[in-house]
Amino acid sequence: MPCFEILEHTADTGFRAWGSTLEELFIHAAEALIEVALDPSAASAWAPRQIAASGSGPEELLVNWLNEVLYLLDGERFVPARFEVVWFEESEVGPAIEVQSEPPNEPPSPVKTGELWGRPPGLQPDLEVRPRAPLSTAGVARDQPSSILKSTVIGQLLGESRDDAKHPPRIVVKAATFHQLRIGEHNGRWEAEVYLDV
Amino acid sequence: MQVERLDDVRNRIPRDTRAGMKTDVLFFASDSIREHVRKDKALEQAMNVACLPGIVGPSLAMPDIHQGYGFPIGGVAATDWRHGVVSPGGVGYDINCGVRLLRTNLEAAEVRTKLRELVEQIFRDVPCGVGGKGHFDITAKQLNQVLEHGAAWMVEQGYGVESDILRCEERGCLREAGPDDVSPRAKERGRPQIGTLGSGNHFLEIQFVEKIEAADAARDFGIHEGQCVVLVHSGSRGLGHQVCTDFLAQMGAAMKKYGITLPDRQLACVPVQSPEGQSYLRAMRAAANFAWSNRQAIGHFLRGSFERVFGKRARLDLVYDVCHNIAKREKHQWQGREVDVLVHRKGATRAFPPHHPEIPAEYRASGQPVLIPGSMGTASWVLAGCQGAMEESFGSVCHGAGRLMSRNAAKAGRDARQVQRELEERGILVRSETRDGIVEEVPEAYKDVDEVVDVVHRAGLARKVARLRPLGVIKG
Repeated sequence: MPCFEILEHTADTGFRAWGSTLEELFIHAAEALIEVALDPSAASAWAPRQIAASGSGPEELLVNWLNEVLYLLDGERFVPARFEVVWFEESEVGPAIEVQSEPPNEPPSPVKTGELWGRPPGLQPDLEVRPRAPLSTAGVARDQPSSILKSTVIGQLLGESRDDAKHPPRIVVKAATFHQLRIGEHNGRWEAEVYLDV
Repeated sequence: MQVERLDDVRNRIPRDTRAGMKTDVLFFASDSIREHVRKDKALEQAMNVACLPGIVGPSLAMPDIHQGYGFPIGGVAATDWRHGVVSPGGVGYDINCGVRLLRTNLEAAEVRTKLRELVEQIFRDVPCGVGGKGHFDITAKQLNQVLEHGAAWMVEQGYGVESDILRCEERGCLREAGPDDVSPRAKERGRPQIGTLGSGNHFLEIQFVEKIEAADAARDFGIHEGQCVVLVHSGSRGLGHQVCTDFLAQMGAAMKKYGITLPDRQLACVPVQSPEGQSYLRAMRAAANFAWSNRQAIGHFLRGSFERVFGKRARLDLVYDVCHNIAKREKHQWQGREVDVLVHRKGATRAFPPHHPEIPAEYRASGQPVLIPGSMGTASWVLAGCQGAMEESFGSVCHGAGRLMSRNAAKAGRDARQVQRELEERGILVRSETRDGIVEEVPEAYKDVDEVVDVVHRAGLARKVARLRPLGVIKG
């Protein structure tokens, strides 16, 4: 089974990634993003790095995670060669807005991904997503409503400093976006679709 | 979806088409463009924009509209400054992506004799920065000055002349910029990239003026048939991308706080007057200033390239510099009353009419120069803003040709060398940092720029001044 494939869209590029666990999905999604931006095949697993991203719900978590990987590439100019481990944690409860009760029109959980943001029918993903699932894998906060949960994804990886001769650049990726974003579990397999603004 | 044809260049999607729409969509398009655009989700996105709280007037779609992220590319939305929202998606990741046109004192015939040399020289002098680095090594403190002062900072450092500033939209600097609202990582991502062109659809073209359509404006803009000009299309690079990413990441929680729900997460917005909204606007202005200093530096490098190839007598003067991804506070007349609005131009260009005080004095009789880059190897246009834009589109027009084909579709079955050869047969030299850079931007991947420009001309938003044709292309 492939780890990811590159997708297309009129103005931009995206990818579909898979994983047998949510952790693996996050690793493969990061690898797909790196593959779009440059050729990482010659990168050495030399120096260790740790990155982290927070978000409410799996969609936000995935987008923020990918943008963290992008910052590593473009801001810190570091190319990951191998992800050692990725795990999820519940982060500290944030300011007041984070613990407000659910808005009345918030759909009940489990929900289709898009509905978290009130996406109209027709743009609905066909995968069903339970926002609690990733958190229960990490063994936290089962009984809180999904809309107020905030979790953190942390990744440990090995790589080296970016060098255009060694890691030929491909496309400048501006960001990972929420556009037509899908993430879900289907028959025990995690799948995500992400579009990148390039 | 119901798209009402109003006349040969105007179409409307009424507000009652879908629940949540607060206003109509007004779509400037010919029949053929309209049918093309209906194939992707761009008009659906324009309908989503019509749902923005505090939108004033219609959600506007220009003839070059295509599907974007949240906002369509080629969309304009004015929101009430007091009671409306600001949407980072309505500006986009490439804050102040824009176009700069320089005129030379050389004729195309002369430039053609040394074209290859010139293209190579520019390719050396203007870093594309696909991987990152440019010619500058600026300190964190200097970067803050760039973010505050824009193009003027470059001129002060010796990269350009005073008159360059006068010929930029906003004089190359948005006031009330907030370097402190730009995250350290946005600064880190952008700092090494100052003075670089970028990749993707960003490019630099050596062109010649093929045809003058309006003699009065052409005279004011200092352009004539046969003259060599240079067009630069670039933006705020990684700094702007990171500013947009940073603010979008905060918007989910902020939207809940303000009770805003929208059909698309990427359309995220907050009240203009909220702390988050004001902070975004300050950061956006800082990123816009970065982009202006970027294009200023590139313009300066170009002067050096021309001097090296054609000697000291070669002279490049700025015609104008416009931004086409921006949100700006402007005063407009709308349905007989003055409105104070934040005009989001996402892939749209400001097009102020003659006598507008924001236009440089030397161009005031003709209207603001509007620069419309076409796709690689086709044509570009110089237009002048008209009164119609003030009446119908908050002083805005299109920004380019508009993509038709995905990058991968453009690449399919095409070979960079073959594309390069075909262009060379038509007298156009192409130099690109990457092979993909050439095939992804083939002319067939875009709408016909002439047709796009024709729509805004006939609609009276802007008038045609000159058509430009490429001689050489440099891209990332």
